[in-house]
Amino acid sequence: MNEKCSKESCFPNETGCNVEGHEYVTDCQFYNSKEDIESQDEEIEEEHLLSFPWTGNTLGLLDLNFLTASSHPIIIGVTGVASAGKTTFLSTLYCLLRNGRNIGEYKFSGSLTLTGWENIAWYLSWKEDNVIQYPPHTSRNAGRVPGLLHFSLTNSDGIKKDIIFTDAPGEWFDSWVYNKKDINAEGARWIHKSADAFFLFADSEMLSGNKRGIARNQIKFVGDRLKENLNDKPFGLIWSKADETISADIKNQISTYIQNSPIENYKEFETSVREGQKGIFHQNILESIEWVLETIQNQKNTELKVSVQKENDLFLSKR
Amino acid sequence: MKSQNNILIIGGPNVGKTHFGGQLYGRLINKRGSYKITSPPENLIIFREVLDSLSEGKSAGRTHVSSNEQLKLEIEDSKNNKILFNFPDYAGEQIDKIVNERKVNSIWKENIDNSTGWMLFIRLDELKPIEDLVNRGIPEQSVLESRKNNEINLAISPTAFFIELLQMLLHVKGINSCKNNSDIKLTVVLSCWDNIDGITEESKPSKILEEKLPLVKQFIDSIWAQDKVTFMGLSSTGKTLSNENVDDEYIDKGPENFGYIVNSNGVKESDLTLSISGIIG
Repeated sequence: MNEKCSKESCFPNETGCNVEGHEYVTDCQFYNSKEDIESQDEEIEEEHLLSFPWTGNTLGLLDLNFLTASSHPIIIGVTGVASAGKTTFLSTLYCLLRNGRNIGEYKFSGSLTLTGWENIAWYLSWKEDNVIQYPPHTSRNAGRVPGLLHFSLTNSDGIKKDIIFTDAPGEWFDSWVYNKKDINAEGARWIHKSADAFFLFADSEMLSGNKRGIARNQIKFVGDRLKENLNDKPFGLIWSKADETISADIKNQISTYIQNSPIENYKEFETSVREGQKGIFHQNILESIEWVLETIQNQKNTELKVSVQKENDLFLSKR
Repeated sequence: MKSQNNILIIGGPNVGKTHFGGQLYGRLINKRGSYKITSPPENLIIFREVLDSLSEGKSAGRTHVSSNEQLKLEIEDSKNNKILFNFPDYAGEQIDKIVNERKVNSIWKENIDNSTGWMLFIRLDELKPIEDLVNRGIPEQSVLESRKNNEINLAISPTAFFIELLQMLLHVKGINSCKNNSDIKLTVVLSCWDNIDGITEESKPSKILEEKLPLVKQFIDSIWAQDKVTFMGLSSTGKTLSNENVDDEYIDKGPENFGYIVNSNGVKESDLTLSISGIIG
């Protein structure tokens, strides 16, 4: 429980009054201001400070409420075993947007996790002393929900899409593959249950190295798990680090295996932090997101057919 | 009826807000521009230092960090329509603080609530360009490995800073960022225009912003209705002044004869009072 508020879902120091919606946290009946009596100055200061309902960092489940209260975000489950290039894919995506690249006809229209994006992109940015590095390992932590990264896109018709990416450690999927009910796979299960689309990462570097046999198995097995109850959700296979050449055999085996039972919406994308010829690897990153948006957009319910059509019925002719 | 305009000038430290204020006031009081002051304000203290410095041909010092003053002016346009307009003065550090500490104090809350138009100052020549994997590429793995142990603290990019700042202001103002926003007018001012790299006589401010901070431009375009947002360049003093050595030409001609804006078509105008035309009325 939070020390300043008696409600579990409220973090007054960070995101203001979550439960009652007061502008100033001290107006709330659940706010505990006892500690402030010790330092009167602090209390006066605090009373007049307004907080924001988002922190800029990756979102947790409770933080999602702020978004889901007003829209249905598209959650893209970014899956794959450890070191498959999931976080690197996300940082490259953000860097592309930051450099002004578009996702199809959509334009960037905001983000609740700018600091989170900057954090992962930071590792792939040049620093003053010319340091650049791949994102560090996303560690398996006690939390059961992956870090969620958000941005929204708007097209010229003013239609806004909120998109959420899961940035989860690969170990969650390692555990999930071998035991669906593994205690360490809670996060992977959440992603599987909640996501509207999936990206499965196949790391070309690992698939061309000594451990390519194991890597191939892991990709297949994660694929199998994802396909359970997949229905018409888009499933993208992302060949990461595609600037590394892998044998056509291995590639073919994985691709065939994943499609050994029909997947309604399936596509493969070759991507890399390196742009590749004519920027193809970067373009594919943007196109993978566009493909998810388009696929989901096309799944809207068909228009209702009114069986009894009476032209002179004003109620029925009102559209 | 007089229209009431509260202009909120938004800009971090050292972006030229004070010089702009002083020069704008100089133009308004000289009554040669599109907008004029009807009678001098009661209290002009916030512009005292900048007006004195500029008349001496020097640059003004920085606004005190805790300063929070308002200058109330009554101006009229060429058709004698009276317009009330508030000009706030504060140190730019307060803007940095809002974004970094993610808190808004009651003075700022009131300023934002009462504002009818925003002027966002961005000084492009002082922003360090970000070199990331997209615009510079990535070195070979072996080079990366050897550098892996150096830890450097995260500093958010100017892109993220400006977007977060605007998102926060919109939130405090209670503006829905879902649709084309026409509830608050915005002028983006690219200050110290003459110092921006690669500026030519043909450069248009909106294009320059798109080139230097593309995501900020995209964000503004997707949130604001087209006719509610203006992009302009600004050089308040026309040339770089020092705060120690006097500039004789400045003294002789008078500060009101220096400085210009670059309008959205890329045309230079010496009438600085036009800078507020996009957000008042």
